[in-house]
Amino acid sequence: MTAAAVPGATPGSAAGLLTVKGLTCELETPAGPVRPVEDVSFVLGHGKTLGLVGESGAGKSMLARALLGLVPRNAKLSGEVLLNGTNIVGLPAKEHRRVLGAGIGLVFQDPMTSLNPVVPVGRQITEGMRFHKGIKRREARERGIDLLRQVGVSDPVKRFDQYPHQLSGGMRQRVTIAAALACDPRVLVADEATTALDVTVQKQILDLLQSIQQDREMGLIIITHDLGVVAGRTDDIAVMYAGQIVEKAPTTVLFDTHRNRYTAALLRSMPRLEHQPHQKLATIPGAPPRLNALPQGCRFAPRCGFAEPACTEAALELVEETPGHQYRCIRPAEQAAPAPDKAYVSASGRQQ
Amino acid sequence: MTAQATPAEAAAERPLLAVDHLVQRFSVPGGLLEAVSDVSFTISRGATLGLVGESGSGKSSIGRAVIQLPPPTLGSVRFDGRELTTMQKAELRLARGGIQMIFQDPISALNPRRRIKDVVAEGPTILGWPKDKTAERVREMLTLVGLDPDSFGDRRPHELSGGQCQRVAIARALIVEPKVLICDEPVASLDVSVQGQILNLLEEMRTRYGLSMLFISHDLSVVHVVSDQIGVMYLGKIVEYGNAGVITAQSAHPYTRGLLDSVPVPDPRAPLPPAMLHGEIPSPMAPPSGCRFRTRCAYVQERCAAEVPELREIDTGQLVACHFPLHGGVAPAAGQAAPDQAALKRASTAPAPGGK
Repeated sequence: MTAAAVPGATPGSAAGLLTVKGLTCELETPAGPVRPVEDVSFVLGHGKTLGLVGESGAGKSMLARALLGLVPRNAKLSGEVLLNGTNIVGLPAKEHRRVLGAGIGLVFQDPMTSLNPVVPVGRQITEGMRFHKGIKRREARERGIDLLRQVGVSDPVKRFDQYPHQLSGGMRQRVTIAAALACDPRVLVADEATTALDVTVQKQILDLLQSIQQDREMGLIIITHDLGVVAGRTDDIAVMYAGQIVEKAPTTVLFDTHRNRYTAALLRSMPRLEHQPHQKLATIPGAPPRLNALPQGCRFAPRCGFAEPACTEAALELVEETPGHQYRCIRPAEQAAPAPDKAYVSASGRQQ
Repeated sequence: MTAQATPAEAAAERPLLAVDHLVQRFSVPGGLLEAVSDVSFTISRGATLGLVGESGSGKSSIGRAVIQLPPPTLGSVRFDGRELTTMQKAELRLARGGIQMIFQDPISALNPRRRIKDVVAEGPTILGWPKDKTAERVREMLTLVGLDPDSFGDRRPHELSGGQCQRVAIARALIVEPKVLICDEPVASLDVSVQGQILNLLEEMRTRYGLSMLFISHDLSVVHVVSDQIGVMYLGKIVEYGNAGVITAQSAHPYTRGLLDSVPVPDPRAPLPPAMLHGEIPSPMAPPSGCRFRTRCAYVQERCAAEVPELREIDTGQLVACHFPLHGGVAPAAGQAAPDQAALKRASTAPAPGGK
């Protein structure tokens, strides 16, 4: 498709739908330059789902914005983001808008702030298709109503002309998904799209994203702080900490044989239904580092129970364990770790 | 309780907090919104009751009605035998020393212009403690919640992380040595790694001070690890109520089952259960007739629209408000069984055996 237009681009599926190479976002701040996203690389194939997991401040949202070039004015982007072979980092604004607007859709965390409160939702859904595809108002309306129906909004004809405040939180999020789908994007990025919703509605929205993705064979990136959200719904997971990807693996591999100590700690610290009432939870001491005061060497070392002097000497590189499984750690967790769930139950039995 | 019981024995036996037929209505544009519809429960000393439900289920309204912020429209709230709903302002102010609350968003719960040590000292100041005793206790409390009083005392809330602010909120609530702590979504806005720290701290404080807790959350996996009893709320009513282990392992109400199935499981091999809960919680301005859950229930029958299900005890020991629970048998037809107040009393909270 677009690959042909760019000289030197690798056409075909080998490059994947979305290929990110060494993406770094640097911000000028009064306290000096900081890098909320540093040297991030991954490949997202057609019809594949990637989970991007990390705590607040890990750089997940900035990464999502960097993919779309929606970074603050004081940010410098470097590296490559190849969408179907076209590098969209550093494209002139006009070109960028053309490639991107139709190529990647973004769903934000809080639909109340991502929707304009004084514009009917229908117009917000159709804005993109009218701009990018030149679709006339009447046809856009029909398509918009159809999109609302696809994302499970009841009574779409009436809803089309309503304002965001007239809809519930779950409905609003369905509207933002409809708007993100309006230009038939190849990649959909859901940035904590279900965090503000009730657990029951969260499940509905996640199920919806999954079925839309399968119908359209889109690439889907689910950004979340909750490993439970991505466990059963992704092909690969990347764990971020302080701006870096610290572990990346196929989903089952990540849960079964993760090597990075932060991944392990994150999995251990989740409250689960298998726990006994009043059981003491495993925790990660301290808090993530500030980006303007990163520790030397491994960024997780100050909170890691296994750190040794070597951990804080030099910056850590990603090591490849098996094809597709990479991690940053010089004192990795045992390779033959049993499935985390089982390990957890037996550990809890001992703890009580 | 027998007539011979001494006052001390009576006090030990009677629940620390008893909420009876609580109704909370708010007037909103367009009418009257009933956030809580006839809810009763008790919490005994040292026990934790978890309230769980979606937003709009009325769980936060209950927490606030207990501390009379604002007082409930109808019903009674008895704390340690004293009725709170009829108290005068000055009396209530002192009584509130015994019931403290922590909130969801710890940063906005703290006055941004005050220093941490003054925030924590607020309760004692209201209760008229001498200054030097207050200052000493503030240092003790900050240390206890894991904050160094020398480096944190003079800071202001914006200099702290969310987790640290929640620690300050806990110190502020516990410095007056309350008997009941109401936690309204205390970890919902925190990262997973910090969530565990705060939950552990709350448990530690609970055992240290013998606190009773009312723990409100939308997250069953969180409620489950802190609670002795769990009440599941839907549209202002408790629909299932019982021991925490029973509610999560043998839930009988279709709504509870749906909530449990919606909890994301961090196991890639766990099958994704089919969605049981369709649609969203209806408006409390116009709740459905009969069973309020019937519009979203997969097992709805004619009787559900006609007849309001009462809370009744079933074989596994919990109370369920459902005509056709997932187990435990069909409810007897209306008129045959009075609302089971006795069962409600029996199921009142007690610390779970084996709990720490």
